[in-house]
Amino acid sequence: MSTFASGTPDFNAYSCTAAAGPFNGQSTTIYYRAEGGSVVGVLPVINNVAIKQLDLSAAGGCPQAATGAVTCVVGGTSAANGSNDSWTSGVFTPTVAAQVGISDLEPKVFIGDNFPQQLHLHRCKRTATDLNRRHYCRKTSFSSKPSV
Amino acid sequence: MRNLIVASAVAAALSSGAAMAVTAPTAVTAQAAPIKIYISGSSAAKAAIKASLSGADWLQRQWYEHVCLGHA
Repeated sequence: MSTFASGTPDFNAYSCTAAAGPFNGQSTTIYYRAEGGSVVGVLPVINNVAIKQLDLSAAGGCPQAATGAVTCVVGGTSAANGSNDSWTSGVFTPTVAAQVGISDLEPKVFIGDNFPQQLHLHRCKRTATDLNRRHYCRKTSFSSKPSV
Repeated sequence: MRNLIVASAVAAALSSGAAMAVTAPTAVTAQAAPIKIYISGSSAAKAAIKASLSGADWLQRQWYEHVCLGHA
């Protein structure tokens, strides 16, 4: 398996050829974005939003010939670029929304005062009810900042 | 709880296709992979994801206990 990691900010991808299971024999890459933490494990999924992932291409600046533990560089900082996903290099936006989210906090805690209102990428503010029921957000524009 | 169940399902799904250290692809191969999965979330789960891919059962079990059962 090769691992591609940016360090800080925290973007990763793991790739290999599956040796068993439904993808047996197929080249498989799993992108894991930890930048943003538990929040990006909840709100992009329920809001059906595609957020940036590590760009493995030459254009993205990732070493193309290296294997094993490969370091790729993502431009920007959590403080300056994290809130609106405006990383300056080394990332791309997948054509699909976040497919799986992992959080060590219950999704329903991200409401009220705990909703990350400074994070525009998550779009609509959620309530305890819809976080429990998994309803999708009706607003789809980045200009629709979460309301208080 | 739903998200924790999802985490458990991810661990199970990944481990079902485990022993993935068959090759060490370059970035060129990795980005051309026909199977791509996009995950986001807690940085604490990174090690567990990698362990599941490598078929490291004890790490996967720790992940299950830590993430799914809420053990410290």
